[in-house]
Amino acid sequence: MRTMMTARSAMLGALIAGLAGVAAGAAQAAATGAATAVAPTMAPVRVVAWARRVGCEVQYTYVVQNNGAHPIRRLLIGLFHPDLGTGAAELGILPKLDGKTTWIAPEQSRSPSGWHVKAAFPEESSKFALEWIEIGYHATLWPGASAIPLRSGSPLSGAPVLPATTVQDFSIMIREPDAAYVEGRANMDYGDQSLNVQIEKGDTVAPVLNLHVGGQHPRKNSAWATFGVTASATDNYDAAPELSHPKVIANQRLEAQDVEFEKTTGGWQFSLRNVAGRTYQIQFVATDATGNSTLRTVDHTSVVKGNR
Amino acid sequence: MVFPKSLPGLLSLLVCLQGVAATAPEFVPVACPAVVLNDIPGANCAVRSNFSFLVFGSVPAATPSQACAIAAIQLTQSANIPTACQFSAPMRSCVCTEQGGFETTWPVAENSASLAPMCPADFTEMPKVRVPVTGPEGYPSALPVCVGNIRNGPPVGGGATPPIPEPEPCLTPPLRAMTDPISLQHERGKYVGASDLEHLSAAGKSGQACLVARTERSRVFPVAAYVPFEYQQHLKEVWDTWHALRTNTSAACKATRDAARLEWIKHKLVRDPQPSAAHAAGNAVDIAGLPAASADRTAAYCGMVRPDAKASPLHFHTGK
Repeated sequence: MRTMMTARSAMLGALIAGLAGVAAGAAQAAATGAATAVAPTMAPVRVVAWARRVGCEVQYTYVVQNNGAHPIRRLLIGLFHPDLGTGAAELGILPKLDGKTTWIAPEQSRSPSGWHVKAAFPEESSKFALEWIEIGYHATLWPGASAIPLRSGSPLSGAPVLPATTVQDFSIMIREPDAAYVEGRANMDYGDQSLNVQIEKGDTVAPVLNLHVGGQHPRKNSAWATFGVTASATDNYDAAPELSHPKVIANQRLEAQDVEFEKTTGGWQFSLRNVAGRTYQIQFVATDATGNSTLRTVDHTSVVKGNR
Repeated sequence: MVFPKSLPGLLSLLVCLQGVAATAPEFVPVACPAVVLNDIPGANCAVRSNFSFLVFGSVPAATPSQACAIAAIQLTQSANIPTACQFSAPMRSCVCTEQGGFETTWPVAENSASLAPMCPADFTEMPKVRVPVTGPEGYPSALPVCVGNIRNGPPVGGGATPPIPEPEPCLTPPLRAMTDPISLQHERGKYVGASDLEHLSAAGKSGQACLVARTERSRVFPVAAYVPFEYQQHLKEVWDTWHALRTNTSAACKATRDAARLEWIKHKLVRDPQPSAAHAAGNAVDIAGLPAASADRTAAYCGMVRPDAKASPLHFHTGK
């Protein structure tokens, strides 16, 4: 666990350092007067998503890097809000709400000090967006709003994400992975614009999948090859990448009774019928919470009497 | 000031800093302390020496205190509730108190470029691009970015004041002010993060309660319920007005466009709002989190129907 935490800290540290370099460049450009006009191809804001499993849930963390000239006081994850025409909300798996409102329960989310997050349903579809908003700005937009259900002692206003800064305190827990949380769009109030940016994946490295074949390896001249496979996966950010149920294919049509396998402690036990000319392939897939996946296989060629 | 002719064809981007308040708005040639791209040496820019203050909407005023006084009048008129506002220097805000004690805070910002086009003649203001600065009064402000052609453009600043053409009227009407008290409550956010269940009809209330109670899931929640007709009309107007004016840079439409843009950003509309008589009558609720497979069966049990499960899967209303 300590190793994973260290690796995670290092990863985020490297990310922040990298972002800071870009931000410093943006700040320098601003100082020379170029920032607002030179960068039509570079989004003024980057939103990078990190995903990992925590217990039975998935935690998504967003790192917001403000390279532009305006502060950010409102950030929507999973919303495309175009200047013209139709947009969309994009998220499908709803976090746990606080039971009375669409504000997200505090234990399910993390926000910068003086910010809070709610589920926003901008249309009558089943999709929604997550809306982080600085509480003072919320009061400005909606001066007649009911009180936000805050933890006792929470501040009633907070700092915006200022130009040339990076903030990583936006995170949410949901019960199962939802690709839209890392592949969707983010929207924010930015100066006098409603700015859309594509969310970037922070973790682009696929898990490492290790397979070990053991047990009774295929015996010659037997009707069945019986052996065990242990599979384990590790990831640079997700401490518990998902290991799929194995899939067995072959170069010949398989009948249901040709393949038997069952989960054992630490692995899988396979029984494959030996048929002349048949090669089996057992496939395992490890997928991290971001959706990066690794496929690894175990091949077995049948050995039967008269086969050689 | 003449731009060097050694840079033919380049576009210059000038950001002009506001001057301090003066009695007559006019272009004044001053050394430009702000942004000049392409390393154009010695570029000057013209400034408009007038400013207003922004208190949520734009309030033409000479001082923040005056802006707060005007804001009080506007708030009183919009909500039909007597409201007093005082400028708080430490908070840089208007602190407004409604009769009855309800208090709101409205941050003050200088909106020095709002009164008239800020760019010199033959320069065009880049839409949507503003540079945040501290205004002459020390409050947040924003400056326009001007685009001009160096080779063909005339000298900037120092010349005669260009004639100001008569503005043509804006053909798109401004957003209408709401008068319905419940619509104003919606607009001011009373039901943000919740739904207006209190104004549902009796059948709507019982149907909503039944739908939620029949599903033992913590993630089932009504996301819209009673939505007054005037508020629905307002959202429709925001959509239509913004789409009509989003590329309109005429001075005549500026106030309407700015107001629509603020509402556009605030409400995050993603599709053309279609006014719903069922919501306006309190007979409809939008409920998130109901299991798709059993939603219609549950609705039937609760005396509700889902008329279009594909286009509006969350929308249920009373009746058959």
